[in-house]
This record gives sequence, C-alpha cells and structure tokens, in this order.
Amino acid sequence: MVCDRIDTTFWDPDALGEKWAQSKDKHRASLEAASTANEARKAMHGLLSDLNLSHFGIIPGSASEGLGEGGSAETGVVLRVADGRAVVVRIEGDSPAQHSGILAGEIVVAVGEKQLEPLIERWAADGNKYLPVQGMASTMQGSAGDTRTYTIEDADGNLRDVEITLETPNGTGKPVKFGHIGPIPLRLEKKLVEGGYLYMRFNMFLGPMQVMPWFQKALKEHVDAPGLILDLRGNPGGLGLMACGIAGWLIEGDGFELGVMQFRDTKMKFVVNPRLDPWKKPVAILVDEGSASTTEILAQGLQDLGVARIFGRTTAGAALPSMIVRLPCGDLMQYAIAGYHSRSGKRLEGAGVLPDEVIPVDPGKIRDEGDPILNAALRWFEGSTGVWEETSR
Amino acid sequence: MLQLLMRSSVHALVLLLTLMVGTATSQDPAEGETSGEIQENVLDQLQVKMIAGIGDKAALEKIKNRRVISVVLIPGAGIEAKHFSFISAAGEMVESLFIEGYGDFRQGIHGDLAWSHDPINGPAILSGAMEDQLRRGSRIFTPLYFMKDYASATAAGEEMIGEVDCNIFIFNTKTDTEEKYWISKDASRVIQVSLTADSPMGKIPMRMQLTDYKQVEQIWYAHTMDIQQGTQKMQMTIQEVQHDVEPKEDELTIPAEVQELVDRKKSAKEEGEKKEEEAKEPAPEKKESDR
Repeated sequence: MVCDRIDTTFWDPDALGEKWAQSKDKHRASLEAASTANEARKAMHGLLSDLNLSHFGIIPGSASEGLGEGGSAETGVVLRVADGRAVVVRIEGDSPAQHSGILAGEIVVAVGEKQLEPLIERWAADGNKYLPVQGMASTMQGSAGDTRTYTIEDADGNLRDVEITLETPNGTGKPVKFGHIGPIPLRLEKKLVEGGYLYMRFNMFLGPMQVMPWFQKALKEHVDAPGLILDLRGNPGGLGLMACGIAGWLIEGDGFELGVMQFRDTKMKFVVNPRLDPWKKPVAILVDEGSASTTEILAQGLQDLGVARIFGRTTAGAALPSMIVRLPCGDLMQYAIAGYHSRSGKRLEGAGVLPDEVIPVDPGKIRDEGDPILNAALRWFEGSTGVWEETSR
Repeated sequence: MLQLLMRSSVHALVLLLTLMVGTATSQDPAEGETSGEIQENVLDQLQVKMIAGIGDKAALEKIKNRRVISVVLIPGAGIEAKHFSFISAAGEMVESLFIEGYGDFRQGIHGDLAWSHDPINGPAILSGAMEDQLRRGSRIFTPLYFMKDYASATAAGEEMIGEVDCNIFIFNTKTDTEEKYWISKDASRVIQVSLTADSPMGKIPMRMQLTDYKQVEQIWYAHTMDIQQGTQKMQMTIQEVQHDVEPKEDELTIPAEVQELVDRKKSAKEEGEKKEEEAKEPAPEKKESDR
C-alpha cells in the first residue's frame, strides 16, 4: 500500500527512478521478515526515508498522545516554544485569557495534571516545527464551557494556578466554510499602530468573500499610511489562490508569479493578477513557526520579488499538499502529492521561509516590549523606508 | 491542492459545457486519400454529422440564445457549486461558477472583449490561448462554427469506453492545440474527451466522460459530465436548458470592475500614443530673442 501510493501519486516519476525500485526491493524484504509492528514500521520508515523528502513518513498511532481533542472553543492564549518550554507570546483580545491575569512572556508549565515540557519534547522529537505549535494550541482548545486549570510561571519563577473557562471566539467576521473545512471563526484585525502604519491580521486564508473586500477596503482607506504590516503569525494557510489575490494588491505590473507547484501531470503557477491602484508603500510581513502553507507561499513569493521584508521566525515548512491515510496496521502514512518551489527556486518544504530579521522567542523581551517582532518591523520602517523604496521596488 | 485547481477548473468549465451539447459522427475517413486530404475531408464530414447529430440545422440557426443551469459536485472536497452559462447566437457569453465559501467566478465575451472576474483576483482581460479557448466555448452550437475554430481532424483508432464502442478523433484547433474525442459508433455521440485547458495557472490536462444524453426541444444534450483533473474528480450535471430567453442584466453587461480596467487600459494606451506623437514632432526652433 505504501509503495502503491508513492508510485501512483508522486509528482515526478522519473526522479524516483532505479534507486526507488531498488529501495522497494530492499525494504520489502525487511517488511516481510518483520515479526513486530515496530520492525514493520522501521522497514516502511526506511523506504520513505530513502526518498529524502519531507512530508513522507509513517506516523505511529501513539504519536497523537498528548494532543487534546481540539474544539471550537479556546482560551485565547497563544504559545510558542523557547528552551523546550511553552511561552505565552500573545493574549487574544476579547478572550477568556484576557481577564485571567495571564501575561505575555509568562510560561505555561502544566495543563491540569499534565506537564507540558515532556509533551513538547515528544512533539518536537523529529525536528518538526509545526507539531509543537499544533500540540500547544490543542491544550488551549476544547468545548465551550470546559473549565481548565493552567499552572503559570511568572517572571520571577513563581507558580500559580489559573482557571479558565473556554469560550467560542466570536471572531470579527462570519464563520467561514469551504467544503469539508469549517465553519471556522474568522478573525480580521485592522488598526493603525505607532507611526500611523497600517497593521492587518487574519487568522486563515479562508472566506475570500469577506477577507478580500476587507483587505482592499483597508488599503484604500489608509492609502496615506507610510507602511503596511501584514501579521501572518500562526496563520496555517488555507486557499492557495488567496496568496495570489493578496499579492495582487501589493505588486505593480504584469507577469509576476509567486512560485510553481508541480503535480504528477501538470504544473500550477501561482500567477499574480495585478490590481488597479495597488499598495505602493513598504510592506512588512510577520511570520513564525505557526505560519504554514499558503502563508509561506505568499511570504516567500513577496520576499523573492523584493516587495516585502519578513520579520519573525522560520515558518513551518509545510507548503505542500499532502495526504494522510491509515495503514492496515493502524499507523498513519503521510505523503505529499506535489512539489513546490518559489519564484527564486527555493523549496519551502521542510525548510520554511527564512525571515530577513529573525527574532527568537524571548520571554524577557516579550515582557519588556510586548511584541518584539512587531517592534522590529516598526524600527525598520522608521529607519530605512526611503532607501528600501528606491532599491527594492 | 483543491483550492488551486479550482481556478483552472473554472476557466475550463465553459469549454466543457460546450461539449455537453450533443456532438456526433460515425464515419471513418475515406481510405486511399492522402493524409492532408483526410484531415480536410474528415473535418468537413464531422461538421455535417455533428450538426445532424444535434438536431436540424435550420432549427439550430433559429435559436437566438441559450441559458444552461447546472450543478458541479466535487465529492472529495465536499463542494457543491452552482453553474450557469448564457450564450447568444451573436457570440456574447457569460459564465458563472458560484462556490459557497469561495465566491462567484465569472468570465465572458462581449464583442472584442474576453474577460474574467473573481472575488480573489479581481478583473482581468483575457488574451492569447485563454481568449481563443473562451471564444471556442462561446459558440451556441459548436458544430455550426466547426470550420472556423478547427484546422483539422484525423482518425486515431478505436477504443471501448466502458461498454461503448468508440472511434477516436484528434482535433487540431486553429491556435495549434489538440483535443481528443471518443465518439460512439452506434449513436454517434461524444463519450469521452481529453484536452489541455489553458488557465491563468498554466496548462491543465483534463479528461471528461459524457453520459445521460437527453433531448431538450429536439436538441441533444449530455446531461452529466464526469471530469478528472489530476487527482481531483468533479461531476457536472445539467439541471435546466432554456432556449430563447429574455437575457438578464448581468448576462448582457460587463462587470463594473472589468469595465474600469478596460477604461484605464484604454486611457493609458491613448496617453502613450499621445506622448509618442509629441516625441515625433520636431521641437519648435528657438528664436533669437528667446536666447
């Protein structure tokens, strides 16, 4: 079944070649000789490792251990990892956490009786940047009305328990749905920050009928703002076409594309359709390890084109469309069905988008500054706007 | 990536819908002719057969316009979309694919203008291969314009599609693209089509199977089309075919954003021409007194 999936869906059969045939023979023998699930898993893992590509793997049934059930309700606490610990990097506005006394820069040590550090270590064991983000998010999600106790460590190392009742976020737009996906509350945030710069954030590339007019209207309303900050931290992506749509408002001129996705029988170019009266001021994009898929395609494409400067941390490196199927043994097989490279030829898979300015998770800095990544973007605007406009656009 | 494929699908749908209008032929090319003659003769024969296969030629030519309302299902993604097209005998056309949570994707032909508009990418003026493809799709009854749109057709063998015995023909368009048709031997109907659609995202190979042929006012339409595009499967089902309708306003008018784009391009072109003219004119000689 593993071989069949790769044989029938891999986007570049020629690249598989003789080496793949030899690999299949080699690992088939190991698989047939396996007497335990672990031995069988090892053989399948070896086979997929020979591809030397991300998004191909065997996920043991036990890998989801520690992940919460998820759900539409949440606390409003956003966590990222620093030194193996769960750092609060943001408290969402109008959320239960906002009134709980938890502060950005504090550490979440435990959820109920469950210590987070060992879980984070397990989620991050194979170098996956995205699984810890998802895992930590799941500890902050559940059913509306659930009450959870979180053990919080403050700046001085003091521990305290905080009880939070989960709520379904209202969002600022209508819940969005696309086929099997959703409904998901859409968060649209727009404000002018210090210096009059336009700051915009949306939580997913979904709901184009809401997001695109909102984006267009904001750019028109604030055409005099000296710069645009597009906050895509934690944005897991969604509709790939929306990367082209957003880029269309930020790029002048015809003939640009963000990158190319290579399927088995065709290539899909992420072509940008230029819009009338596009944004002509500097653009800063904020990303982190929770930024994935469409977010990465947009950020890398705009970085390649010299249209935006990227701030934050390397993104998830999960731009490919991949499928997950359950194998007869109960394990899960993940396999990508397309390759992607950006305009500059960069492969995002596994590598992610490397920011122009990297700002690590630093609890002390978060406590002092609030949002060090946003501040870095503002400093860049203040320091180099004119030079950048002349050289990059 | 479904979301990406959808854009290419949208741009190909009008072409596919045209295929659902019954097309028919059953005659193999005459033996003993040169390949050049075969191409010419087969195309000519196909036109006659296909028109006869749809209905009476005089009756077809009397129809002023057609509106088709369909449903498009993408089962793997849980998507059901609404589709309509309006085509007039004069060659005006508007097509819309509305997907909940995604928006209304439109494209059309109005005189010399071929355009598209969608909620994500906004307005665009189509040209080149995409315009050619859309114009072929804007024929109210494709066979009536067969000689205009295609350069040649050649027989390319036989094949069973399911339980239907078919002849295969390769059509070459006048813009040098190729389409492959499987035509049933007994009923002279298109059973399968393979082509490469042009879209803003690139060239998209597609394969379609047409079934459920039914007559609407004496004209044959395939009411179901199963589309395979890469790993994505779609099914398009006609719900209603209307002939000689009173056009709705949005079937006759160009969307405002498209019109604005057209106007801006026209102004920019005129401005450019004006500057070019000014540059050609010799500078007035300076008088002594000016120095």
